[in-house]
This record gives sequence, structure tokens and C-alpha cells, in this order.
Amino acid sequence: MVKKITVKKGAILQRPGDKDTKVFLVKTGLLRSYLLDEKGKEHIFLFAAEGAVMTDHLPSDLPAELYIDALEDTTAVVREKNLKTARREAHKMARQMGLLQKRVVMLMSSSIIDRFHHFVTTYPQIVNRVPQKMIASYLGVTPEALSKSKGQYLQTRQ
Amino acid sequence: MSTITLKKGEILQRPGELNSKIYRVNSGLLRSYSLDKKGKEHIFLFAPEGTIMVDHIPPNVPADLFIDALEDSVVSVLDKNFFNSHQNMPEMIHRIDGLQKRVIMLMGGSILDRYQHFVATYPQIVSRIPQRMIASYLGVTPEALSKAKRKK
Repeated sequence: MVKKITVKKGAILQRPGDKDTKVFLVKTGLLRSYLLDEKGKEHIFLFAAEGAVMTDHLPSDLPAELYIDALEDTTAVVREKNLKTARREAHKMARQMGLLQKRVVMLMSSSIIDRFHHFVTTYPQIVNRVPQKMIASYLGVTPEALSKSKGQYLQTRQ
Repeated sequence: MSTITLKKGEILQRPGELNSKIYRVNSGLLRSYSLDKKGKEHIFLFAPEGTIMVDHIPPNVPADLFIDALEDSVVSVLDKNFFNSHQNMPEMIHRIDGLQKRVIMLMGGSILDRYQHFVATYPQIVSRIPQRMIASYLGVTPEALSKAKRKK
């Protein structure tokens, strides 16, 4: 079962605890997944711009872990989570695993500049579309530390 | 498919190598890790018997990770196109699920949450590896881990 949805900026597509979660293929716009920790602090898990897949990677019979919301007005195709459709997208899943591996390695070992570089190469199309505080949250650093390092990063690129 | 026998401490893959493989562990224990610029070791994943160890990059791209044997191990070596085969899709889905949990742990979890995540993910290896490796996997210092475990 495939259907298309159009949502406004700010709309929440999934909340932690939701069952029967779906896969969203972004046609236009920008989705984000995130979690809130025990102190209510927001941690961004992933972004998905046009052409990318957004989903909570859990079996659909388990409660979701993540929020998914729209950072821009977005049109997406909604798919059921099942093996048959997953098989058609094996290459996308392989890419997703590579991305998650790089993300774990980044979170464990990289300097802020390396983390920002990872973000820019992973999401070249959204660098100017999301606020700095969200990029900092994705990188697991404070906005102040990011702003300081970004100046250095841009200088080395010139 | 070939089967190889490794001694504890042997290195199977180094960063930069091409044509990386998939290793299915029949017995023993493999580990993947990276070294940062300061030479500090960060453990990415463990793979005990019955599980798979792989660097998730296409085979034509240089490897990101070291892979070594923490115990004498027997492993089957598979080609990277293993993941293109439809029969292996459940394994692939399971791995992505595990990586999601790992990112969430690294971003938001307390030390105790991280330790519980480790125990739930690898119940069979908790007593087989030194505390400093568990700490490295969790992204915390060995001192902080030992303190958090005492408080529990």
C-alpha cells in the first residue's frame, strides 16, 4: 500500500511510542528525526531531503523510538514496512548502513571541524536550509562551539 | 566462500584497504575500531559467534575501520554482494536497527543507559572482554564506567 501525503512545516509525522510505523520517501521538502533525552534536550538523529528515505529503523510491531517532523512544507510517499518493499530498496538500505557507520565513528572520535565536514558532505543540499542550532544538535556539540569551529573550517577551505 | 582461522590479536582489515569482505563468525570474537588523530582507539562493534562483522562501505571504496580478532576465531569470508541478496534482507534490517540504537545511545544516553544497551546487545560477551574495551565502545572513560556500575 503506497500513498502520498503533503504536510506543512512543523507537522509531526511520528511520535515515540507510536506503533505500525511507516517509511517516508521524501519527494520535496525536508524531514527530520529526533529524540528527547530525560532532561528534555533534543538530539537530532537524521535529516532526509528530497530523494532520501526517513524511517524509524524498528520493526513496525515495536513502539517507535523517534519523533519525525517536517522542517519545510513536504511531500512524501508513505510505504508500509515489510520485506517485499524493503527488498526493492536494498541499495538504499546499504547506503543507509554506510551513513550510520560514519555517523557512529564521527560521534565517537571526531573533532568539531571533522564533524561539520561530515555533515556538509552527507547533506550538501541542506546546509543552508537548517538553522545552526539544529546542525549543532546533529553533531552532538553546542551551537557556540560549532560557530567557533566553523570559522576555522571555512578558512581552511578557501 | 572460504573459511579462515585466526589467532587472537590478528588483524583482518586496515583502514584504506580496498575490496573489503564480510566476515561471518563461526567461533571466537571479532572487533572493529577506528583510531582518531591522537591515536586513541574507538571501538565500533563486536561480533561474537553467530554474527557478522563488516565495514559498511562499498567494496570499491577504501575501508574506514580496523577489524581484528579478540579471541582465536574461525570465520567464513563472504563477498560484499551478500547484502544484495534478498534472502539476507532480515539480517540487514536487524543491523540498521542496531546502528540506530547505537547512535541514540551515543547522543543521549547516561553512562548506565549505555552500559545496559551494551549488555542487552552483547549478553554473551560481557565477561569475555576487558572493562576498558567496554568503556571504549560506550564512548566513556573506564573510570566513569566503573563508578556508574558501582552506583547501580
